[in-house]
Amino acid sequence: MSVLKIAVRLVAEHRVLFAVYVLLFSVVGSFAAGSLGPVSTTYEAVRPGVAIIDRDESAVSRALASHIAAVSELVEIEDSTRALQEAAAKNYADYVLVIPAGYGEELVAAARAGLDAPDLECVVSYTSANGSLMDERVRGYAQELYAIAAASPAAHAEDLVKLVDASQDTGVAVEIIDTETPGLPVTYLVYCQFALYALFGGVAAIVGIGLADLRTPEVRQRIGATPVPSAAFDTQIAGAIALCGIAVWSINAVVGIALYADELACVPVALTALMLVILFALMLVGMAFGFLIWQLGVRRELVHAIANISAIIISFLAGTWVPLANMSAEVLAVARFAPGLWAVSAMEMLVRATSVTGELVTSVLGHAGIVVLFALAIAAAGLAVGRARRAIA
Amino acid sequence: MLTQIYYNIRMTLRSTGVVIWCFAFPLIMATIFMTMFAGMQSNQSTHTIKLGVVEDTGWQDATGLRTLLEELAYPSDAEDEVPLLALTGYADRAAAEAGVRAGAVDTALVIDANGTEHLLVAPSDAGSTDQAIVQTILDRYLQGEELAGALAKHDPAARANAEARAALAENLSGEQAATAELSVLREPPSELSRFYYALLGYSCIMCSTIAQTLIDRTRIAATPEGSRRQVGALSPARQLAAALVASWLIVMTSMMLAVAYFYVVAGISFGGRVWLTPVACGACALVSCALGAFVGALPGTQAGVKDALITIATLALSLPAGLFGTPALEVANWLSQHMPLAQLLNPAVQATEAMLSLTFYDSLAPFASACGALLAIAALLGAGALIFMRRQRYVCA
Repeated sequence: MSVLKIAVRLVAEHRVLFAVYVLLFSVVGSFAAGSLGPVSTTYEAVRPGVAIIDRDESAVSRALASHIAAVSELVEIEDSTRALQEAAAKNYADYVLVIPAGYGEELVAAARAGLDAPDLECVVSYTSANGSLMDERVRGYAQELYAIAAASPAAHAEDLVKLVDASQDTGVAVEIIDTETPGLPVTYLVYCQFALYALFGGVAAIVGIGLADLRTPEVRQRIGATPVPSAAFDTQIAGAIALCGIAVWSINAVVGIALYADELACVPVALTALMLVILFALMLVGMAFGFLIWQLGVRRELVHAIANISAIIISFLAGTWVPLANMSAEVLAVARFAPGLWAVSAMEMLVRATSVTGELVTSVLGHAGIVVLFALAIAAAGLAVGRARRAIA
Repeated sequence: MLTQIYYNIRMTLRSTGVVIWCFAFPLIMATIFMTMFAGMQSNQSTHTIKLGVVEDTGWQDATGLRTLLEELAYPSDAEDEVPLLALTGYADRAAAEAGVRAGAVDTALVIDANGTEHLLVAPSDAGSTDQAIVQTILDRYLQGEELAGALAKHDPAARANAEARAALAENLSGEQAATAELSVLREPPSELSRFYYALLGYSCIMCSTIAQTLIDRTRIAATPEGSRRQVGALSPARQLAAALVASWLIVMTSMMLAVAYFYVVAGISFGGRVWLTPVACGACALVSCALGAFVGALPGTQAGVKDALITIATLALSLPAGLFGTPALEVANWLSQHMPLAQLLNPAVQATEAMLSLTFYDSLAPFASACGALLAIAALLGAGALIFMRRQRYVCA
């Protein structure tokens, strides 16, 4: 057990790595989750950021502006080319509506003459479909005004606006499907997705750096001269690596459960447990990768680089930072050959579930099993590398 | 001095850390961005929303609504156009609920026995944009019916006329009031290019480790090499100059390499003004050298602490530049709008800003002011470094 003790002591000397890789990244994950806002039990339609530049100032344009303001978060933007350019380039608003001068009168006149109304000008953001949503809302309202203006040839603009506004309360009822028990909160899902970085890169870096001293030629030579059989040495090292991994996993799990204790309290325990199983499987991959790095005898300063860059790639391929739906088919095909995708898709299954069914457990465990297979493959590669190196030595 | 510059460069490029973090990392990240977002631009505005419908008698009876949704799902006019909706039929409400919960459809429509429409959403993703789009389409249809009713009450005689009713219905579902997209920028904006520019900001800060190492190697008592060199024949000022020139050259090369990679491989056009990028990169490289000198000159700090300081500065300053994904971009936007001074003093932000204004804005004034800000930051840091170095030399002597 002496090797195991030494290994644990070596790792413990690098405890700052735990703070940086595990605590810091766990906190980053919770911040990312926090940006989603609290989960509400009532449906509220999204309120995209919108800027309105009203160059018309007529009854119609004011009504349009206040209708849009009611269904969005207003962003102040100056009416100048520079401000518009900055807003568009930096995506200050999802949608910028420019109501041209004279729009109100021309809309009513066009409707009564049976012509097309003048165009409203807009700058649609490059992100998400929020811009298209606002476009739909703007066109919808303007079209209603148009239709009403055409149908009542004598009415004043103010009366038309009143009629249209009166109808705005009508709409489809949106219902959130009732479930007996709430599922896992989405914030916890985001936290767990971000945990991928700590569980993969963190474990690998801690193992790679912490145990690096055991690979220096002098230490190897001394260990070689001791009456410790090489199989026992290997087992103890594997044990030390496993302890590192379990420590990282536990810290991450405890931080997660502590942060989301309130929400998790009303969720079936089995769902949280299954989530922890997925995280455990991911940690095994990190462990195997750390073992591989250690076997390769990578230099200390390179371990950070390798662990971080591969963790970035794995997180990206898992859809942690960019949803998988936004990726091209080729990238998705590649992502299938990385463990992250399987873990994240199992997490998503868990979040959608509201009760624990046999089917859910089998499919989540199936995905976790695939992740474990990745770990086994990497560990096997590590063993092979170790053997090859020993043969050369 | 030329020999010193040459050896400084050789020494630096032998360090694996520098090669990985200052040269390879931006290229690796650029490659990741490129592959990850390859499919993203195309599906932004034209994507299909999956709508489930319960195909019971209520659905069969709601002829107007059904026609509208079916037209949106199967557009007849343009064959290559991506339909807005994809309809999935369910036998009853329970099946639709299961489909929504499993994520097979974004939302589902149920029309109950009274003919009232209900949209079903899953608790785990209530409030998505796609749901709101479906909601808007349905709202608009229902409001049309409401308006027709209100008008009929208002003017019963005119509404009795079938022709007028048909004209109203046609106008309500028509497309006469439209919007036209303005193009205010020199080229269409993309979230992607901001990530690339933020990478340049990252490089600018990360590379300061080069100047820090090189300058420390010329300073007495900072490193053993420094002490040895100071007793050599070359004057301290010339040694310092050699270290600065060498680090500026390396940083400039690193950044220009990244720019070249973005331009040639990733297809970032820099708004057709790629010839101006060396100006910004040169200013960034100056900031890099000044920051390195400043961190190196901090009195009483060990080499490990300096390394950590630069790493922390890199992460902390790159965040407001928007390097770490969309949430970081939101932080960056918030800071630009509410704390412009903090953004003005952040070299990573100004580096990003310079490239952004180069690409998107007509006028070159914002570009010039970003470069000016970079030079000012470099001057400030340089002055700070000078003060610390003088003091420390005084103490050491």
